[in-house]
Amino acid sequence: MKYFTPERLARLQDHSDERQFLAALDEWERVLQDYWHQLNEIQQRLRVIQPPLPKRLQEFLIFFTTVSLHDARILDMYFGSRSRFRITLHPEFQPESLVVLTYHLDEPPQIQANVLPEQLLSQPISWLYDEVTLEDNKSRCEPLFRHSILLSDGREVGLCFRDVTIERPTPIVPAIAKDHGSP
Amino acid sequence: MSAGAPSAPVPSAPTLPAIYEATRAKDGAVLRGVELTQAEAVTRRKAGGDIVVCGPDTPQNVQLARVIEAAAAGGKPIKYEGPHGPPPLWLPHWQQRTPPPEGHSFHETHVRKARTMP
Repeated sequence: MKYFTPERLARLQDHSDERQFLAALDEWERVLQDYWHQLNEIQQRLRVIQPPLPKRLQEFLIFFTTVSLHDARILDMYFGSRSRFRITLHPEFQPESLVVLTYHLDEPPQIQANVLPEQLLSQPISWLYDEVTLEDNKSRCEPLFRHSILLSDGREVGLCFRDVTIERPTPIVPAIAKDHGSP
Repeated sequence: MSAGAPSAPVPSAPTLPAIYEATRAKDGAVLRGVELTQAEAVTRRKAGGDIVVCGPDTPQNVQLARVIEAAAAGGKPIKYEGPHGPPPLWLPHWQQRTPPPEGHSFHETHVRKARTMP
């Protein structure tokens, strides 16, 4: 993670000194703005490329600039045959639908354990923060992306991908409580 | 004192934070509902509902939200989460490290505000 680093997350947990905490909160705001600015820049760069970005990749970028998967429960995450990597999430927003992300990876996923301090770990495993970046891909014409995802069990998952699809299926299992969710 | 000299500014009374029921809109905004007492806020959090602490003083808001979340936790550990979207929609919050109860004790900051229910 370049923006939402474990160190910055840990600084937000320290409320022993009010001035230091407020400085950490201001730093978090600044980093968030930098990240969203970077995401908008990616979108602008990709608008002018030829051939145009496939619709599913455009949808992916729009999805991650308009919704947050923070605190979404991770129901499964696996690396399948060939280059396919799939994540199924039960989001806090619009909990009546799951989010299924299917990536076509350019290299095996990178899993880094124990990146979070003890006081930030939580169960069940949920999605904390994520960053989408554009990789340097001079050898090919199609863009290459990296999605870094921080999980609440202290693992960071790095996915370098060239294609991705997002589905929003209605779950039968897990059953969705009627009073759970947005108005 | 000469006539017309500016009078000393009268210090305004400190504004205490107020607590409200909260719900989340699909765009991530926190919607402010009816005002709650602190005890009502704890009861709502124990039941898994969201609350939001509003006011101009960020440290006061953070502290009150923390007290409410800790009371709902009944001794279990809680954690603080920074906002995760562009201002002013998403709000920082306290929550249980291991739910239940689900939900959040949100708070306003100098740049992030709850949205009033339409």
